[in-house]
Parts: sequence; structure tokens; C-alpha cells
Amino acid sequence: MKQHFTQFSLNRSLILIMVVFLALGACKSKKKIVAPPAAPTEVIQEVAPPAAPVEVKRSAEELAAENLENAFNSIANASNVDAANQSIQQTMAMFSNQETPVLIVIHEENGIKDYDEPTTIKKYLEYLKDTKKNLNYIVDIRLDANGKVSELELRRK
Amino acid sequence: MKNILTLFLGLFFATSIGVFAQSDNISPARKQAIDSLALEKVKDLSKYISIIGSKETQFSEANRVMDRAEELFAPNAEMGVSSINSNDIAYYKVRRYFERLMALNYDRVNISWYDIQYISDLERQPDGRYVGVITIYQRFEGTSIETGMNYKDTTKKDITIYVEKKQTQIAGRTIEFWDVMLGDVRVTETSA
Repeated sequence: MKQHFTQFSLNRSLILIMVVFLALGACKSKKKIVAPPAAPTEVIQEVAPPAAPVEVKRSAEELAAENLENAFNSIANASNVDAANQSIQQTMAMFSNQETPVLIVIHEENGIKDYDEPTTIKKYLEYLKDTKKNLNYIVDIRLDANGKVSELELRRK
Repeated sequence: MKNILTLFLGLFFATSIGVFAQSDNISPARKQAIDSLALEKVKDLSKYISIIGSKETQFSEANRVMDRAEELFAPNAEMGVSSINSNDIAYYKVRRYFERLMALNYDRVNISWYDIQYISDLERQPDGRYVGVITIYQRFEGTSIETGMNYKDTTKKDITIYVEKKQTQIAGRTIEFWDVMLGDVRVTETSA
């Protein structure tokens, strides 16, 4: 009986000791480690240098078309015949020859184009001078190897 | 078997007729474009006549414009000429009319066309051409400084219009275009 009680007490003690050790081990400090506040960093905003203007390179055809549109308006709005003739002469220099064909689309439907009677650039420029009206705009322009206009397609405005 | 063959042939012909019918019709938008094209040719003619008749136009320019004006007309087309001083109406070949117009004995000539419009819409004919009539009013004023003569009249004229699809070769490719031709110009009214 006494032996049993002693062994029981020993077991209980051992268990108690074990529990204490476990408790000690698990008892972590709840104090969080707070990192010291970082020193304030100096925020430097870098101002990007202004972007260099992007040069849009236009094709020779686009430049030619723009020049031609201006020429057509100049001829149609000329104040007198001499001024119109001068503009016509300057414009003709843009073309490979005075018989360069000019096509005029009056209507397009389902991919099929309806054309007015084809003419030549010389006749078309004279038409602008005579009628004083510029009813068409350029939709297609072809240049030859020398940069001269070899073909022109217009469309009714 | 015979019934099936008959049915097949009937269907074949029915679809064929449909195909042919479609090729005769043009859409309203396309028709409007052709109408506008023809009307514009008549307006171009009015400008040419004004240039030819003007005493300010140089001889070489007048001749060039006469060529352009003549190209608007069908072969052998004629232009009617009237006067408030006579009941007669004379008809001249268009080239002859332009030459007479250029040679008028006035110091100042002013010709203008207005109220240019269709009185008969372009309609498709059995031969495939479109034919219509456009009417115009012409105001003519001629002044002679030396004699003090001053002639004015207003004339109403009807122009027959022909439009036809044609083909031509441009830079090695076939281009179909609408060919507008002006026919006879007939006088219908003359007033002071």
C-alpha cells in the first residue's frame, strides 16, 4: 500500500514536472518584435524629360495627294484665267505626262465601282478652270519611278 | 420520270429568267448617281456656252472650250435658236451653233442657264440605254456700245439625255463607265 502510494506520487510528480517544463517551453514572449521605424526616405520624383516629338513619316503618295488637292482647289478658285493657267502649269509638272489617266468614281456598291468617262489630267485641270467647281477628292494615286503621278483615281464628294 | 424531267426543266428556266431580270435592274442609289452625273454634264454645258459667248474669252480659249462642249453631244445633235423678233426656230449642228455664238456682233454677251432639272426621268430602253429629258431656262443679254443695241430674251429649252454603259482600256485594264451624251436641244418657249 505504501509502495503503491509512493509510486503514484512519483508518477504524479513526474507528470507535473513534465507539464511545468512544457509550459515553460511554450511560454513565449508575446511581445512582438517591432522593427524600429524606418528612417523616412526622401522621395524624389523624377520628372521625365519631355518626349521628343515623333515625326510621322508620310509616304510620297500621301504628300503628292495633299499637294494635288491643294492644286485642284487653287485652280477651281482662281480669280482669273491667267492665274488658273499658271496653277495648271505648275500642277502638270507633278505628272509623268499630260495624258495621265484620271478615273472618277461616281458610285460604289458591293465592291463594284461606277465611273464617269475617264479623262486625262490635262483635260481635268482645264475642266476645273472652266467650271470653277471641285466636286471630287483623291482616293488613289500611283507614282512612277521618278516620283511623278502616273495614275489618279478620284471620287465624288 | 417524265414528270421529274418536266419539273427540272421548269425550275431551270424559272431561275434563268430571274438571273436575266436582275441584270436589267440597278439599285436606287446607283440610279441616283447616274441621274446626278447627267445633270452635272448639262450644268457643265451651261458654263461652256457662257465662256464661248463671252467677248472677254480669248479666241484660243474659246476654241478649246468649243471642243470640250462638242464632246458632250451625241453625233449630229442640233441646238435650237430662237428670237423674240421672229416666230422661227432655227436648228444648227452644235459645232456650228458654237461658232455662230462666238461670232455674235455684240460688245458684251451674257448667257446664263438656270432652273436646270429633269422633266422626264432617265428610263431604261430595250437597247439598254437610259433616256430622259432635262429642261433649262436660258437668259441671253447682248449689248452693242456703238449702236446702243441691247437684246434680251429668255428661252426654255429641252435637252434629250442618253446614258449608256461603255468600256475602255486604261493602263492595260478594262474600265466600265457611264457615258452621258446630250441629244438635240429643242426650244419650247421664248419671251422677252
